Amino acid sequence: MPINNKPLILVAEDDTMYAKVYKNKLAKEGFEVIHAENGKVAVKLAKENKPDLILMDLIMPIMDGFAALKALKEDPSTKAIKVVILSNLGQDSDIEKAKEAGATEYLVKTNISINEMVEKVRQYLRIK
Amino acid sequence: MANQKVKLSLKFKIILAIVAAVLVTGGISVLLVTTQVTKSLLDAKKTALKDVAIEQSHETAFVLSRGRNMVDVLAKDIRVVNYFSKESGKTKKDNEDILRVLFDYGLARQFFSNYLMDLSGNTLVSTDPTFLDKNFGFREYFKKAASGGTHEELAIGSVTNALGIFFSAPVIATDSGKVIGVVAAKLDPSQVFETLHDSTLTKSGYYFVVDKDGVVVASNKKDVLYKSMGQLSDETLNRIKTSRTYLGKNIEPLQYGMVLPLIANYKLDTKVIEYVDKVDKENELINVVKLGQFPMFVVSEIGYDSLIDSVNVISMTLGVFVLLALIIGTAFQYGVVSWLLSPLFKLSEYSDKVSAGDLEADVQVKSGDELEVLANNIKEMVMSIKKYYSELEQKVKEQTKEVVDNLKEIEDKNIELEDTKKAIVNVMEDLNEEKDRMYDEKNRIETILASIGDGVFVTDENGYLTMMNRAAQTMSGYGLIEALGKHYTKIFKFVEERKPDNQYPDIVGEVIKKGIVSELMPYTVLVSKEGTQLPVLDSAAPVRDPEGKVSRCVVVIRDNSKERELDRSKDDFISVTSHQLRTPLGSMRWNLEMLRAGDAGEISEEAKAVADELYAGNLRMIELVNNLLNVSRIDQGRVVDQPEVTDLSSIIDKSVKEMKLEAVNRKVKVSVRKVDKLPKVYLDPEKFREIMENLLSNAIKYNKKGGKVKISMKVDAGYVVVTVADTGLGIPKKDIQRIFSKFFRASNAVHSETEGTGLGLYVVKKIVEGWGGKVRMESKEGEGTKFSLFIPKNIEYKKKIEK
Repeated sequence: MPINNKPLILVAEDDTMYAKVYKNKLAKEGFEVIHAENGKVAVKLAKENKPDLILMDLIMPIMDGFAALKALKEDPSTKAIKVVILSNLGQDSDIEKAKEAGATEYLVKTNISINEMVEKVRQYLRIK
Repeated sequence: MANQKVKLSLKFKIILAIVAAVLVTGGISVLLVTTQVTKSLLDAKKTALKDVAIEQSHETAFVLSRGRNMVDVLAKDIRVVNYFSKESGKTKKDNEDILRVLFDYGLARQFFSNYLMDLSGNTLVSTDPTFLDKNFGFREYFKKAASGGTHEELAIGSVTNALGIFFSAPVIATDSGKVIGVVAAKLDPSQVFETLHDSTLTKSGYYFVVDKDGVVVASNKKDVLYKSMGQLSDETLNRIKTSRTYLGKNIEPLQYGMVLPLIANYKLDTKVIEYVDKVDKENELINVVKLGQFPMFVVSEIGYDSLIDSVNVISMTLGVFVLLALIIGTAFQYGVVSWLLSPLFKLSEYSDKVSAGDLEADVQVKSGDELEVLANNIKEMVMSIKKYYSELEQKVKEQTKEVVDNLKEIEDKNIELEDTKKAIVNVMEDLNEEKDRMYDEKNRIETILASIGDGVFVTDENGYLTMMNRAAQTMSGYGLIEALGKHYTKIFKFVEERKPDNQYPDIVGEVIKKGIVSELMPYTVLVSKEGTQLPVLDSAAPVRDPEGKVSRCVVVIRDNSKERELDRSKDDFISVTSHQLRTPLGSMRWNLEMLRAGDAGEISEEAKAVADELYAGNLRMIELVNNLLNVSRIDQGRVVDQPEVTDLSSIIDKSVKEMKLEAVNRKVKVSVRKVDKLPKVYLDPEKFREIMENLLSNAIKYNKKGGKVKISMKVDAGYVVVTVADTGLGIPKKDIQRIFSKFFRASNAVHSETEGTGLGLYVVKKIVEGWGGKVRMESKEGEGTKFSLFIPKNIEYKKKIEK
């Protein structure tokens, strides 16, 4: 838990450009952001830091988002953390698969504006 | 015409005919006379017998009825009643008094013995003293009277040891009405039957008096007394024995058994006449007469052999007379016939000559009768024959010539016929060749079917397999022999790849029912006999017989595993590609949004304008990628339809609301007109929303400033019709044909708008058609466009498509 009491967001994103946008925007909006460049790191960081919310990409090297989501939901210490999938995969089968694995919501990144993304983050932190 | 010899002369024939006629008629009349005379003589005899028998039976019955009456009256005589009524013992005087009464009756009828009996059968008083102090309680006449009836019977008296006719009647007390005693009388039958002895009848025959059982009690024939007319039943014999009616006489049967049934029937008949052939081989007449009301019969028998003898004498005489008449008649006829036939003999001679060929011969008949006419006619005939002969000769000559001519003609025709035969043989050869060709064709088709890579099977109209090729056998794992004749579903087990437990539709049944070509559901697998699953793609087609009735169904199954594999990689490719395209576009979008919002620091107005341009381009690219993705999925039929009961108007309202900002920006007025009670439709609401957004977006974007968009809904013949009409640019005539094509944008739209991918209307059309509906468009360039969606009220989801 961060000392400054800002909500901690874990962003799992392999694309550097996206990673930068997340960090910039979310920091600007008053969140603490930690970044994982693949699923494996994300699981590790989640266990260590117990973030308030996880934004998870799906296509990532080493361990993809589905596997990471599964691992998080299987571990009792991270099970309760909300995971919002933010991916550019948009097929029905992907959405179904992620929801089944325990994702709170599935958003297609290109189809929402950055402000909408922030809105969603706020929304799930509030509900927490 | 040979000259014949006369075998039987006419004279002889005529005489023979007459003799035969006389013989036949004579014979018949002798026969008739004999039978008629016999019959009437016999009838007369029968009648006589019957009459005499009846007369005598009347006389006898009269005597019997006198006995009956006497007993009846005596039983009712007040003195007799009083005698029995007296309670104290009867004194000697009482007995003497009452005996006098009995004698009074008895004197009048001297051949009777009268007596009174008490209820035990003891004789109290009797005109015949030998009866006194005897008990006759065993007699039937006593038993009947003691129980209140009357009776009469024939029996041998136990005292007199002679036959008697007994009569009895009960004495009834005047006050109580009870039987108190019995009055009986015995009649000496010898005097009764005396008349029979003297009868005319008995002189030529016999009489028998028989009792109710047929036992003879009197007769003029020897050795018949106390014998029965025929064999009696054991029961009857036993009864006669126990009642001691004939005091132990042995009852033996006589030869008149045919009388017994008549006697048994005595209630109805009183007299009957019968013929019999008897032991002594004489013809006899038997007559049975009942003696009035009494159970006794007189049987009479007379022979009539003498009668037949006399008839025979008459017949003989008649026969002799007939023969005599015949001899005289024949001699006479011979003379007459000779005289009558002489012209005929002349004619015979003449015709002999003519038939021998002498046509010049002549005959003279002057008999003046029909024979003379006949002779003249024959002469005329001979004349005409002469004339005919000469003509015939001429004709034969002519016809011989004709025949020769005809023969020539026939020869010519034969040659012609030979030619025709040759031609037919040629045609036959051609036909054979054609047949061989057809056979080859059939073989070829069979070879093609066998060698074809696709599985092919044929079913009859009920879905039973009638044919399948090698590939179909390999795919199903079933051999020809085990498969043919079975229902196709037993051999070809189709299942949905993702829902193997679902009931698979009866594709053949549907094809036969509807008569249209049908395809299997996508992602079908065929489960073989061994259980392996083969992805297949197939289609079924009806085969019609010459009358147009669907009689068979042909199903072609294609091994689809390669395509299915390709599909999967294509799927992955699209997925990956879109992901790869979206990733830079997406991060670009967010970055541009941050830039425009000043999140990356304040930028100049000019820079902001550039950023806006970039942003718009970025969004268009994203939309393009999304649409591409969408279209490729639609094209592949991989769009999930998740139908639910949907209220179309509420979705329209939502869409209008979402586009409101856009409309206000472009100063376009959107109005919605609804019909009451618009039915809800079972469809995917998300798809409908997509359609509405596409159409609305077009209608607003390509409208003019201050233009209008009108949305209306109505129901029209099974469809819910949603119309979106705008007052925009309209579509140029040349483009109308292509408006629903992929990536097509109307020429004027391209110039006026930067946005638009040219995929929207294509998607709309695809979705609506997927529901079984249609899209109509009316447009006038410069005036506006109207799109009408015809959505079926009841969408059939038989082909539910899944990714």
